[in-house]
Amino acid sequence: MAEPLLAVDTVDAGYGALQVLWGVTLRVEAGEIVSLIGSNGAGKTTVIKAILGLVPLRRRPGGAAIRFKGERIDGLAPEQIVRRGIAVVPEGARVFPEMTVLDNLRMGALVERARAGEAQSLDEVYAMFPRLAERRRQLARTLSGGERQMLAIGRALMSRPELLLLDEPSLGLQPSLVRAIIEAIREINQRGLTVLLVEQNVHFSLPISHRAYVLEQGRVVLEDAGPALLESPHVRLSYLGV
Amino acid sequence: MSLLEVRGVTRRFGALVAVNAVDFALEEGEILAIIGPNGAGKSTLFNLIAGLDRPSAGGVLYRGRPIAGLGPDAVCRLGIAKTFQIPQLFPRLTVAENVLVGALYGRGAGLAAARREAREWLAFVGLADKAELPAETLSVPERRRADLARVLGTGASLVLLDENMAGLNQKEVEAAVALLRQVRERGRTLMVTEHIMRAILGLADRVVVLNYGEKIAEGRPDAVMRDPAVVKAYLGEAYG
Repeated sequence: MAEPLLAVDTVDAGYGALQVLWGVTLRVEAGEIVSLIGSNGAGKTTVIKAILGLVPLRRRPGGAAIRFKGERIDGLAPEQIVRRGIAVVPEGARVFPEMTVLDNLRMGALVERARAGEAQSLDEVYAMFPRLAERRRQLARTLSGGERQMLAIGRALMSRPELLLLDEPSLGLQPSLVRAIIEAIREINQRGLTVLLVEQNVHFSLPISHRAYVLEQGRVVLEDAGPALLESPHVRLSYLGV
Repeated sequence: MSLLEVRGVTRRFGALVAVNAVDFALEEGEILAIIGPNGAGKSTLFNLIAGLDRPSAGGVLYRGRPIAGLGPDAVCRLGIAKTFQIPQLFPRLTVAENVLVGALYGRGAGLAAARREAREWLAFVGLADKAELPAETLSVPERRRADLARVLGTGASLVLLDENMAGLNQKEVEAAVALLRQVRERGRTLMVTEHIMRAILGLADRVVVLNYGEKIAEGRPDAVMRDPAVVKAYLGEAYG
């Protein structure tokens, strides 16, 4: 079998004395949308941070590893990981508030792999989110929550990644905006980009996911096709215990 | 009279209403859990009760007496003490000294009596053999138990536990649930917030669910977890 695009292999990670992830193993195949769901405190964001090199892995006998395109990326600095083709839309969007929409987008294209294609990337992002084109001269802090989320997605796309990580893109958005974000993720994927989506809202994430993992107290407890998991009583069990 | 009454408590931070007109009561000897998704207002509510913050509107009554705005030191001496999500131990003091601080402060006991009290609570939480070590050498589960011992040492009748089980593994969670049941058997009343639902189901007599600062459900744990409004708050809404 071909190597998965991303392979997270028995990863333990945490913050200081607090261990959050316990032997997390998951894979993302090229072309997939994979969701990581679970209630708050389950460790979803920590998985994203581990992939990006923002939290170190704990050493364990037998060895934990994160591989991207077959190569080890654990131990690399976040900027090196981004250069290899992984981009993130962080929780809460985290756009640069005092920069314009255009400058925020151009920040995404600073990595070498994306510089030559900047103009074309910009056209593609504006085509996907016409609202960003309309507001390109505005400071990012003047945007609504949904527009910031679009901007964060656009900024990530500007780096021409092969894998896009999204952390809770629906958080705090009204339903019509959530729909727009879902459609954007689907479209991005249909253009060939692989997506790992961290999301608490299962009605958002599961219908568009090829596969999904359920994280509970830092452990993967379930894996299945996205739509199948939506019907599963185990998901409610994991979130609510009944 | 209820031990604690929360009446129409609201806390605004600018335009954000973190806690919105929340009402509930807590009876002596009860274990009440406050649950809700991230940002539901649980920690804010705990801080309002413990005197770490004051409500924008509404009141908090302890044994019939208004306590909102009194400040954490006064609230502690009245008999309400709280643990923190990240245990706030004095890192360089020994574990026993940490608990001693609680015993000396909360009930104003003499030093000898407070030492005795501290030793008893350390044994109760299973840390007797770590009593003379600096608190910073404890593991996360041990820190949580030391924090609990310190709060119990104040003599508080009402113990507020803010995610006291975060970061514990399954076995440690079960041990923590058993320990908290024993705390109740010793006559204390407990109010807890927790993300680990299995722990809530095994521990709480009653659950209050917050979402976006509002109370959306209240009742027995197993019934509340099946409440459609609660399921929706946790798993999200369907989008067409």
